[in-house]
Amino acid sequence: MVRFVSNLKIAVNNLRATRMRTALTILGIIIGVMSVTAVLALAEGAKNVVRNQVKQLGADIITVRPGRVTRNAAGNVVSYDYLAAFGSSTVTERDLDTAKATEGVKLAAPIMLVTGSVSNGPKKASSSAIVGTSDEGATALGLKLKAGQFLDNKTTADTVVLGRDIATELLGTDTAIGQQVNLRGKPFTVVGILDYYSSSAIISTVFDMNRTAFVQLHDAKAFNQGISNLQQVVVRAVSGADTKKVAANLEQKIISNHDGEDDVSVLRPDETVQITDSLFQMLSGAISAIASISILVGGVGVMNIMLVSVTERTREIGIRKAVGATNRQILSQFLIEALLMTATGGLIGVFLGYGVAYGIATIYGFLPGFEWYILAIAFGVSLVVGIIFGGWPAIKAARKDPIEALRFFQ
Amino acid sequence: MHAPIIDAMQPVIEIFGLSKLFGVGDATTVALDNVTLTIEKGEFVAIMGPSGSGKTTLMNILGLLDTPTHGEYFLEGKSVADLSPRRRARLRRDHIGMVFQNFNLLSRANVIENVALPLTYRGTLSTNGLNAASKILETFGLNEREYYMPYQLSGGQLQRVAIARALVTKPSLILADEPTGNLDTKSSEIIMEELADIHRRGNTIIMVTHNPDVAIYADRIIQMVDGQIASDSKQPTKEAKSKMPLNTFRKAMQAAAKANENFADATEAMVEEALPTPPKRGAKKARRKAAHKRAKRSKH
Repeated sequence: MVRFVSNLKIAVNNLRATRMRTALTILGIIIGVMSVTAVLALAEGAKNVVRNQVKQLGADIITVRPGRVTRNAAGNVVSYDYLAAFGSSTVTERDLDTAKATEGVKLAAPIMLVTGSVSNGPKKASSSAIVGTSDEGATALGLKLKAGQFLDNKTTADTVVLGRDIATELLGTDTAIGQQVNLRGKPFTVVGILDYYSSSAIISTVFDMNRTAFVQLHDAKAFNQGISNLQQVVVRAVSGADTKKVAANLEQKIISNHDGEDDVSVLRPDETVQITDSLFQMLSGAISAIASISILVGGVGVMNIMLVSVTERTREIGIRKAVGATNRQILSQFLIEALLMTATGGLIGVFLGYGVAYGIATIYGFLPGFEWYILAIAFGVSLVVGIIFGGWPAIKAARKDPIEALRFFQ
Repeated sequence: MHAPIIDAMQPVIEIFGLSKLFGVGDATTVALDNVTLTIEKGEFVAIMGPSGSGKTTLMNILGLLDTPTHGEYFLEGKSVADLSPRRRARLRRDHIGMVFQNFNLLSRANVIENVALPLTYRGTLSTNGLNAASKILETFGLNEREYYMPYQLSGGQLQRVAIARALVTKPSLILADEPTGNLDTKSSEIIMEELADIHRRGNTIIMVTHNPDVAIYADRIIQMVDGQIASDSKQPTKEAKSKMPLNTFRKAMQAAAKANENFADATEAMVEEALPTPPKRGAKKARRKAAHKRAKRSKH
């Protein structure tokens, strides 16, 4: 311990004596750690957004989606067949009816996404989605009305409920009930306008509820040559029911609808999160792997400077050995010096990384997420880099022949 | 750490048939050739000889910085042949204090840190180490310069700091390689008085030097030529000489001077003899060196 403290003092003194190059070397580590931290913090933040949406939507929501999920032994979703998102949907109207008839299900609403323009005369919405659903869609999706009413059994065909943003863009107001808009060129009467909807990722990461025109399912089918193509069925369980059981039961029934083909997934809210989590994990993993290359480059910088330092201080090494320093003591002296640089870089890098993540996240309207594992990774990686890239110069220092070292002149 | 119980009659150093070869095959040079030597506790030995005679190699081996090619070395009765580098470092730290021609202080550390350096490798608590260093520096009259940096001190002061560092671990052996080589006459005298004083306090000192004025402080002078011991004579220390009646002192001084003169002539003759025709570059250099030495001697 005493030796460690004295080595630390030596390291601090030496790094101070060569301020400029120490600062530049540390900068290399800072940049690397900063980028990795920022990526991981942003990914955590994005995950939190999804988790919060689940909280908002409630724990009783069950979604039926095309594509098979793979679960591990513990029942956690490990992968999702992303290809299913590009094919024609395997969720049918029959599955919707099955869902409605399943025990413990309060209601079920279809979601049929149709792409197409939404316009008011010559004015065309900058971005829009058309979604066919049923009267239960509002409850299932947790939509709140700003004005008018949602679609129901009494509303005639060709009526539409608009999301807030698209309504204000096309009609200039969010209370424009009774006006007409054109969906794919066909006139529809606005019967309701939705309140601002803050979360949509659990239902879909593809379309924005605030820029969506909701129509009856049969109207949506009319846009698709009368054929239904459900992206998902949103189910709400009876309050107090075991969603796990209901979901499992529903899944079994739908699979038997499909002649035993396991081509849909019935997901509980936590599982929906797992899917998006795994997606973010993959993304952030890949990006931080690329970012960590810059840590390696920083490490090469550390090694370079340490090698220079060892050569410059050959005489000092000789003196220390002559007065009785063991090889190991010399080794730890130089290793501690390298570690001090990378650890400092790691610490500053984590702080700056969070600063960068905060800056980027605020542009997109969320906050970076804090997790201990991010600190552990950032700091751990910088220590490992210190040991690997400081190790060889330290070994070189420790192996110096004291006689040769004492003869060394600068 | 317990200090070993040292038998009063136990020689500090015993070496038998020590040889050191450098290089391989035809390029082999013999730095030390079958040297056998015993140094008793409390002796002040000066090793003299022309450059290339193996003095420094011998010092490096005695200081455990180097290992002999052949022969045995017993430090305080224990063979050091099979020691691990780690054990050798510990022996250097605890039993040997080294003083160098160019002081070899850490330029980035201040005086007191330099003196306390061997103690930090012992794991002594920093404050205790600094206290011990301060105490030693006081005996050298340097306690007011504890926090000076080496570049702020004169050569003589630097060498006193280096000696303080060598003494801080209370070693059983002090090795000084040309301790006055980089100093002027006045500073040399001060340093030699310090060493003589340390010797009076019972320390064993081995010193390498070119300078007969410096060697006079020792009580035993070993002359080396070509890696071998050419002569080994006890002589009264300078202190003892100062107590002698003038006549005896003069005789002793003359004898010592004569011995050195004879030795120097002998080496010169050997160099001349070794000169091949046509003379090689190295030989020319040696001749120049010898001439320079002669000129230097006539100045004194």
